[in-house]
Amino acid sequence: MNNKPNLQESIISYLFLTPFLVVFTVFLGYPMLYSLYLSFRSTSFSTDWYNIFNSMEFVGLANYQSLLFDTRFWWSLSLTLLYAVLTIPSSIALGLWLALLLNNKLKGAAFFRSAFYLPNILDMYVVGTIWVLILSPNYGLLDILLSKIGLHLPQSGLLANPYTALATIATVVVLKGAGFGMILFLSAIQNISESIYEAADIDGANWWQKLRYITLPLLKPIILFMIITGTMSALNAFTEVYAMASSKYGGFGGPYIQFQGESVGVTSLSGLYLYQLFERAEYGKTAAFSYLLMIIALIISFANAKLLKVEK
Amino acid sequence: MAQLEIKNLTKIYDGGVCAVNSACFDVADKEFVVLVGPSGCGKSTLLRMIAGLESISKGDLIIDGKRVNDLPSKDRDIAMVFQNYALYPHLTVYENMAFSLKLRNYPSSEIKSRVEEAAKILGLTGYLARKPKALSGGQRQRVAVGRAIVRRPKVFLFDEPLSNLDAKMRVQTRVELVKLHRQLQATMIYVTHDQVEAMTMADKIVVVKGGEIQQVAPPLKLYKNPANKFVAGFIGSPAMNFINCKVAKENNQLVLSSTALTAHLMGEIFSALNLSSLPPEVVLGIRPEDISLANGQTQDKNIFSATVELIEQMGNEIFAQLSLANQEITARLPADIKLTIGEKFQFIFNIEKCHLFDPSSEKSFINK
Repeated sequence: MNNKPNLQESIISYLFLTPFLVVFTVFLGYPMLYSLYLSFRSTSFSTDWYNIFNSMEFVGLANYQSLLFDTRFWWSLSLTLLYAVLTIPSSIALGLWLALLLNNKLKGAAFFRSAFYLPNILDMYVVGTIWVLILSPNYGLLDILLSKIGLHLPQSGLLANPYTALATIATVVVLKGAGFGMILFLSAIQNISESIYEAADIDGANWWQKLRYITLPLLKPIILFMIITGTMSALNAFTEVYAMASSKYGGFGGPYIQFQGESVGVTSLSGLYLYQLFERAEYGKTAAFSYLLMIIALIISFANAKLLKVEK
Repeated sequence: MAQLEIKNLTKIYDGGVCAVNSACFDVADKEFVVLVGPSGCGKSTLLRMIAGLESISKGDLIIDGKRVNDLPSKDRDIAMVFQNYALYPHLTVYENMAFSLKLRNYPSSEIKSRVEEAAKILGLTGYLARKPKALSGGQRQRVAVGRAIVRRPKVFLFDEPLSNLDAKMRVQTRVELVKLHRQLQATMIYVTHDQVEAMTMADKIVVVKGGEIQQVAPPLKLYKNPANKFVAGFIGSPAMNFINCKVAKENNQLVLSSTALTAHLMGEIFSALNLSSLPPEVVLGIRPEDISLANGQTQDKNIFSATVELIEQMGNEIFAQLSLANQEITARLPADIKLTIGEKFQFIFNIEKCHLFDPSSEKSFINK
């Protein structure tokens, strides 16, 4: 058989691909290349502000260089790392716990499965806004519930306190996303043959030993997948902070603290700092920043691909 | 050292379905007992109750004089080999076999020596570092057996361990398991739907049908003296022929007649029968090997003529499908016999070896 596709077949294939390719080129391909171009350019005194992009000057690696000496850049990267540490392990643990619960022959399991998954399909901004209301001191739902048992949220609110703001946002994100991990874990757990657990029963394993030596090792691919997607969403995190850490609670990306002589927001994650740079019309630096983030994301992805390959 | 007493074991599922009804049998120390029956007869459920994987609804399970109904699997000192092997896919062959010992906190030197010993017995020494995925079906099956051996349990349980193997491998592994039983001197309970496995491996066979035990006996006794029509038809291949006959008593013989043939029962078999208990109609059972070509003999009273419908050539023998009146029966004949399909021949059957069953209760009237 001739494996080379003939011309007609190729043309038809490309025709079917065209709608996607057009959308991809216009909305993804072009912006990616253009931002690479922008990352080597900068505005200056002579820039025509009515024609910014065309009159930016070529500055070589200056944008990248300035980022490396930018305290706020490193601050935002460190915060992102902290945010990833706060969200990823707890997402995995919560998703796994829910999956293990629902894997039991529980009454109403189908209801809980849908209920836990539902927040996933809601927009992050909506969820964030709802949580701002729930968490608000005095009249928020959480405070009302706590008051029933004689407790109260701090008057300043969890989101305005520099020590609790990021952890609170992380908690909301973990709760919102738990259903996704749950579905992944649940389907993987249900793929493990029942007889393997029976063999383990006979071999003398208790509940914990079955989880530790059988379930967890067999769920390793899911756990790795969740680490990677979790890292990506930490690097991309924007909406949750935008929705929940607004000026009302100590400023955009706030509350603010002093760090190395600079005023920095405790929720100013990379994604948010990127946006702030963009707002300040530092387009070249913003583009350079997004390329640095992309390189970090690529390194992590390749590391993951390697790890998964070793497993196979 | 292990003896089992299975007393009135019953399994009733939540929906009220009774999977096993009052099963009773004993397993002596070092005995190889095979539970055999058609699919869905409850034999696996019975085994799983012994293993502790299914709860016991009623009855007692006694191992070495101790009632273990409420003991979890791990405390019953049993090992089980599953039909799909149930190996841990993420562990190597060594780790699979060592798992139970590791959980019981055996010193690693002891684990190593036991696993290596089991691997040697089973010919797995070269495969210890492999994962189950990299093994053939037969090798996986041996790992599953190895996992059981290292434990040195009181009782080995096998749940259709050969049914996922190809025919050649099945015969080979069957022989290996029998050798292993002799070598380990262990008590084994083995479930299968294959009567050949049951006949060749067992010290004692338990025939199960519809959740009820039909008969418990050594293989040959089961073959020669089936307790009922089901056991008679299930054990032996090709299966026993059954012919419905009317009963008439004449002097010192019993005449069984159907539209197909007439049989005259006399001598030893006749005197062993309790004539008063016989109903007016019975089912006559004749094994295919008890039918032979008449070869010109006309003196024999148990002669019949039949048309040859089909010949199945086995090489060393033939199975002939014979049609007489409205009935088809199978005869097992020497390979050198010349038969022509579609023609009528005279056959005789060995009346000394026939069986009589009650048409309603299906119980055997003959107790040899």
